[in-house]
Amino acid sequence: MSDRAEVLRQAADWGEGGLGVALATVVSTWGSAPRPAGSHLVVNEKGEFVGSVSGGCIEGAVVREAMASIQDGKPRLLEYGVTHDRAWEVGLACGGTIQVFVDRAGLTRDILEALRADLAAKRPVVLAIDLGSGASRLIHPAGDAGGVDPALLAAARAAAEDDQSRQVQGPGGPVFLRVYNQPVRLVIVGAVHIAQSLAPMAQLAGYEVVVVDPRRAFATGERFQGVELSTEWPDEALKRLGLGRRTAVVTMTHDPKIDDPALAAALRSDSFYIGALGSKKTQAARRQRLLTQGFDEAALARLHGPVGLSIGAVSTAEIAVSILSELVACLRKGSASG
Amino acid sequence: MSAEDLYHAELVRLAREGFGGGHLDAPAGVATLDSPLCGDRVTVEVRLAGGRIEAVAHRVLGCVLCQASASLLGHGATGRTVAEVEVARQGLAALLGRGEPIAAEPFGGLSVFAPVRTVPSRHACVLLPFDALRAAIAGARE
Repeated sequence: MSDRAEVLRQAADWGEGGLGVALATVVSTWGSAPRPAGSHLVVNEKGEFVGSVSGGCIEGAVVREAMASIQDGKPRLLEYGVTHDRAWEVGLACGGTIQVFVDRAGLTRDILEALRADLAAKRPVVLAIDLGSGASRLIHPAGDAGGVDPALLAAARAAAEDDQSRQVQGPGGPVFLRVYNQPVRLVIVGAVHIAQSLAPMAQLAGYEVVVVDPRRAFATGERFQGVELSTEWPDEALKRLGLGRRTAVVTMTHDPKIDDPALAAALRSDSFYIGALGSKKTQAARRQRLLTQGFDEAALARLHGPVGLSIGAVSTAEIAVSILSELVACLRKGSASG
Repeated sequence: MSAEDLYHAELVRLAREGFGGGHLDAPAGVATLDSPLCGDRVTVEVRLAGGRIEAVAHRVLGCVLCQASASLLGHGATGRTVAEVEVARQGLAALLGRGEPIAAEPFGGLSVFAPVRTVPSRHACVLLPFDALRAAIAGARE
């Protein structure tokens, strides 16, 4: 289960168990903040917590404030940074400044349920938190949003499009827009040994993983527990799954009849990361085949092969780390160079 | 220099001096307390004689506030009665919780923690050594 789903699940469980629950959300960051805007920490009335709003520097203080908010029902807007470095100050060692909104009232059971249902159904949704009152509501960027202020709706759609949670000026004051987009999806073609390492690692990173391999002897539930499997041929599977800007495709079979159709489909899509396992020699032959299929050099420049960052990886798990690192670089920086 | 700067300088000095740090020979009572949110961990050893603290020692793994508080204890607790330790603990809690000035100073110097009042999440750091001393006394045989 992804990090964000886990935090919401815990909030729901505590609420159903009759415990008071407060949600702390990073709503602004300046400088080198440890966690991005939108990061959640959920706290119950006993002081138990999941998630994080910093690397641990201010969690203690925020947990206390959350418990106080559960007690008195009032929202709080807290700010932490490094000011004078005095012994009693609570701050961030990294020199950044963050604003954290803490509230118990806004995250009603209805909203929490609806939010979790949206995540389960992979429906993009924006949680809009009024930073004055703590009142929350859900806005579906793709759906009709009856009753939502048009400017706020437009801002929510823009935030979802940019995949960036942010603070905006709403009709009645500042509103924080927490974007829940569909997670990044990684399609691994080839249910091979390295895939057995890469799939769970990518899941830990919060990505949705599908392993595709028409060789049923490879694509078994025993070898890939908790991972979505498909034994379709890659061109069929990729057509069904639909590739887009938030999809990555990595081929691993070394078998042209399986890898090549997947790479061709990926190159025709907006996939942000396309990788192919195989040596330099294998890659040269592969490029040649793709060229004869009509892909030009510009298209093939999107293909990462040999796949992964050059970190001297030897074991299957290490190779998975190098692939995942390259994927992250392409997702967050737009490229793996520099 | 602001009043807060002066307090801070004194806290750092106290923490650095580390009065009373170490072990006792044959302690009558020992207690270790920790703060689950901060990680501060304090062990206090105590020997009692006639309702008074004959000797006290502490070991602190924690922040400057916790170290300063333990150092203040190590400096002032010897020779004080168990009741006076309670008075000091309560005075400190009232200073932090309600901003009440320290009325009785059995140990001296408790007011140095006044600026911590505005930061509730750090109160536990200051009180932890006092609570550990209390627990050590409670478990001690004379």
